[in-house]
Amino acid sequence: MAGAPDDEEEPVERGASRVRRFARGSLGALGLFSGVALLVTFGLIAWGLAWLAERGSHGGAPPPEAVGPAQAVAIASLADADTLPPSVRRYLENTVYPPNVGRLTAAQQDLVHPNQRFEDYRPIPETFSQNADEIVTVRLTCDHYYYEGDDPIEVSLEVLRGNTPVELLSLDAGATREGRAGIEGNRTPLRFTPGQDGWFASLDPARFADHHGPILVDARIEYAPGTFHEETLRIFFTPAGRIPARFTGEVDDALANGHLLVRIGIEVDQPGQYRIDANLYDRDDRPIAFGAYKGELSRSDRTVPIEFFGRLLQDTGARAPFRIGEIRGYRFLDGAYPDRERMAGLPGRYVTRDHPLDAFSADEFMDAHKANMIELLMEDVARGIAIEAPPIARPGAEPAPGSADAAAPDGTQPTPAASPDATTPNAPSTRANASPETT
Amino acid sequence: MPERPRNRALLGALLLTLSLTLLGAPALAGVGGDDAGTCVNACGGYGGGNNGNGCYCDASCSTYGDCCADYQPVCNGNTGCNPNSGSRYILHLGGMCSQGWNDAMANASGYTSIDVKAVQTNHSGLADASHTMGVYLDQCCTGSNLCYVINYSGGDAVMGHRLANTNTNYNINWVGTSAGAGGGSALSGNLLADVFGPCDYAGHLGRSEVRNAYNHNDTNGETIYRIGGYDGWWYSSWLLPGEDDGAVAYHSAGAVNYVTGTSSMCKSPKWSNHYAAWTCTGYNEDHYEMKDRFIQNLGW
Repeated sequence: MAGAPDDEEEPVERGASRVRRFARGSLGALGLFSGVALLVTFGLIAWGLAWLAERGSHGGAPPPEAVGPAQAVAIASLADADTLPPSVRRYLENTVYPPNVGRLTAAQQDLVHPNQRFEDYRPIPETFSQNADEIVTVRLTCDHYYYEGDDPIEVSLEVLRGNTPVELLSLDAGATREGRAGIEGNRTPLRFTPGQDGWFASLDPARFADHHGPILVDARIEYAPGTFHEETLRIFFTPAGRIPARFTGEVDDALANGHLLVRIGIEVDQPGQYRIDANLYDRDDRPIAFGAYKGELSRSDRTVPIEFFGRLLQDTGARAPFRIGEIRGYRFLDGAYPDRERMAGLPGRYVTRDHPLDAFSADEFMDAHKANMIELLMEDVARGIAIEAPPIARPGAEPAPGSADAAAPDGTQPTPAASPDATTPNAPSTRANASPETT
Repeated sequence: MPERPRNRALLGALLLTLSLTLLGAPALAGVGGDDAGTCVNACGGYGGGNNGNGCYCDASCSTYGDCCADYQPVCNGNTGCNPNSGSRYILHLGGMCSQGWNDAMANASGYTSIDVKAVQTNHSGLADASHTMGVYLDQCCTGSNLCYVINYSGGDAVMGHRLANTNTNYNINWVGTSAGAGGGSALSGNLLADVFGPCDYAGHLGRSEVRNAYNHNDTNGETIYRIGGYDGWWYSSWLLPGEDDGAVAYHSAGAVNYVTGTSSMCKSPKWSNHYAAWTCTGYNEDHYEMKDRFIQNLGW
């Protein structure tokens, strides 16, 4: 599996140059294939535009019932599916919606409840035993990962032997600033007090007002005479002086070219590259879509636009008025450390105007970049170097690794579960007794 | 700027060789490494980060042979790719504690393989490597070029971080991820460093930190295909939920959008645009063995 550059590979010329080359006929078969690829590409795009126009002429009527993206993809590609090369077909199936926008379900807890933590009870290796009641587990956590300004930072510590709380013989805790090279400055002692389900401490953000970035909380516990264990916990702190912009609380919305355009009021102190996220819910608070803005913001900008794609709203049968929530963002500092300055999130949900579903476009996403990608993929087909995507794994239907599978991928997003199943943290498992889950 | 420690570098190399010999073959599988320096934010001078290997990012480092691994892409914009030239590239992005792929690469007809020299060893490993990856993507995967990206372990987080924070539409048809650490690992910290390092970055792959480091559902429109292994090591079954390869569990390798114990790579809900490839069961391989699994499956 060597990766030596192929020096003899001639770069593919495109556009007028390629047409000239084809006209000269100097490259024979390659030119012919390229020309065919070009024609096929243009034909494909023309077909797509015609198809979209036809769809548009239906006035964007809502589908008879809500369909998911995967079904919508299948319908969109149906007329041409048999004639498209697999690589192009798969690409089209995966790009029905634009970048930065996607389906949102209640199961996507990372988006519905952003900025959550994921600590479990971690067993202390020195206490490993076949008897679960002998194993000591520790959970050091807090309520968020990111904190801004004067957010209170509440830390909790639980120590269990089996399911029984352990009475600690000693507890030494502190918090330390971290920079690019690691620990910075002195450790700030952290005082835990016992509570009903463990020990609790409050970290005063004012003590870190001049620090931007990670803070490492450590706790050294004595859980048996002379036996110690240390746990650490990292949080990310943006002090008030480094918050780069503020949401004004004003949100507006409008229909724009068949899509829902949400404009979020903002006051920018520090211009730069920003990422702003928001979720969209329907009138019944059903999660529908997530969207984001990624781009430059200047001090003169008063709003941030987030576009929720019309086809996505159509596919989900979402009913207005919509709710816009979990509005959050940061200034991205590419190559710097820390790599972001966080804004304080905008609490609550904004209610949009009452847009009829058929006001939204049913068109698939298409732009110059996507058209270029299709052309590049078709060029690869014409040159005989197309790379097929790996087969999507499905429970109960597993092709042998390395097979050329071509089981018609349906582009299905992994089916969102209605609710996450019960977790089994820290449960030792073996292949012998494991069985694939079918969610 | 420290003086170049020639003798110490030689001694370090000897010690490293001895250490790797003592540790055995698994440590050579492309993830081992110390707190190597990086040129991100350090061009023209001494390498950044903890710079345990004492590398430089100045013009004379090539002469002395002590450039940081990412010197060429970060300081000179030299990725080995020819921008906007109708070229085809397969980018290989390595894992935590590494300074590059440093392993077998794909051999696909018409495509050139690129070893992405992204340093993932320091506390700033994710931010640094993501920036470096951006340099590669800008050169290799725009205009008339077309790309595929193969990443491994921590490279999953690096690629995810880059895609979530860029608004450049790259010409990437898809991304293949082996044993992805984008969901973090409960081993992060001393345990992960003990296994793979030591490197400071190993302590930054905790689940809370990695899962909050970027919006995993925003792949900038790219499709991510993922595979995972289940040949965990003796300790990992106690510390990682569900199946694991000794370093990452299936909730991470399989892109599950919450932390759970699962024996299926097909477990859902997944982050948007992420799919398990080939098999829901996964592979009877450990974290080291998984590195080349994706390109082997493709016959590359």
